[in-house]
Amino acid sequence: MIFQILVISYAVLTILNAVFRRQKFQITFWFFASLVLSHLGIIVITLFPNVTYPIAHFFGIGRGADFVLYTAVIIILRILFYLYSQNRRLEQQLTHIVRHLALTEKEGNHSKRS
Amino acid sequence: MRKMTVFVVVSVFNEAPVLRGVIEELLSLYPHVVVVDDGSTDESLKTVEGLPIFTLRHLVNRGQGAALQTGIAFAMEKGAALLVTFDGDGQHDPRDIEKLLTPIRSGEAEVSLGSRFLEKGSRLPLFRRLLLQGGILFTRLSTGLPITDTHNGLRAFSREAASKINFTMDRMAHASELFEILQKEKLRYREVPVTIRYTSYSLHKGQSTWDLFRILGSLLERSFLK
Repeated sequence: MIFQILVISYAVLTILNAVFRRQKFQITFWFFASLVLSHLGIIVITLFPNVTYPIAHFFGIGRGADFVLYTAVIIILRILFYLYSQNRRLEQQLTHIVRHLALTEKEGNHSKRS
Repeated sequence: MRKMTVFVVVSVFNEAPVLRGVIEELLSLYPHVVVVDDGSTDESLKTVEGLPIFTLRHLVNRGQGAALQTGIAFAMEKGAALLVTFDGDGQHDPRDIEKLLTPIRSGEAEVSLGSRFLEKGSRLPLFRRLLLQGGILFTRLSTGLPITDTHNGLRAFSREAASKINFTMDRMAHASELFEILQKEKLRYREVPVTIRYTSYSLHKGQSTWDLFRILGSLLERSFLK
């Protein structure tokens, strides 16, 4: 019971946070929608854990909770990989900018022998 | 024979205590020195003020691979015929540069790679040697190139070879990326024995044991990103 109260409180606070601070953090619509829907899903599954049983049974997994756990791990790993790729791309772009500035800094020391 | 302009590219990150000495020693042999300050937070560049060198500055630290690529691009723009990469922490001996340039001048190779393991008797601590050997083994297995020293920053390139170098790995992993470029571009290379000065400063500042773990990590990362 304590676990359910904690998880539901966390999910509700996250949704409220997203709703009220959407403007401030300039969250995109799709990110906002994913965040709200996934946390609504968490609330539903926490309140009614049996709803996952038919799906888990369909995939040959005994318990609904296991199905949720496996799915969450796969989604989190996918998100991590995506974020890593995005970070790599941003790092490369940053390097290009820093290099460009270093090479084109006409008033800098490199354009003349010091 | 036409004199070939040699540009020495020195990547620098927080080397204020030794940098001036390193550059002065280089200048006594090679007049075209390019110092790339990779976002140092100390006064590295100030220590070389007044010396007849080219200085470039990365506004933020981007790693040795990125700094070398910047220096190579600059040296190419300035018309370098031969390019040398050299560490700024004083662990390399400028007198080794000529040994690296010889096979390129003679047309025997397009790239020369310094190796600390070709000659016996290097004063490398055992644990560090084992870690480096692990990196070498990994590189040999992943690239098939019989390299004896994978992370030695003392290298020389012909202009044509340098034009084919484009490091996309900004940090340590650029060293293993180089071997992939050698292979992909079918560049002829030679390994040349060089001396590494293991001073208390270079041991402290240079490749710490932790850095060597990072090298191994970067090798794994590079093989993953291939």
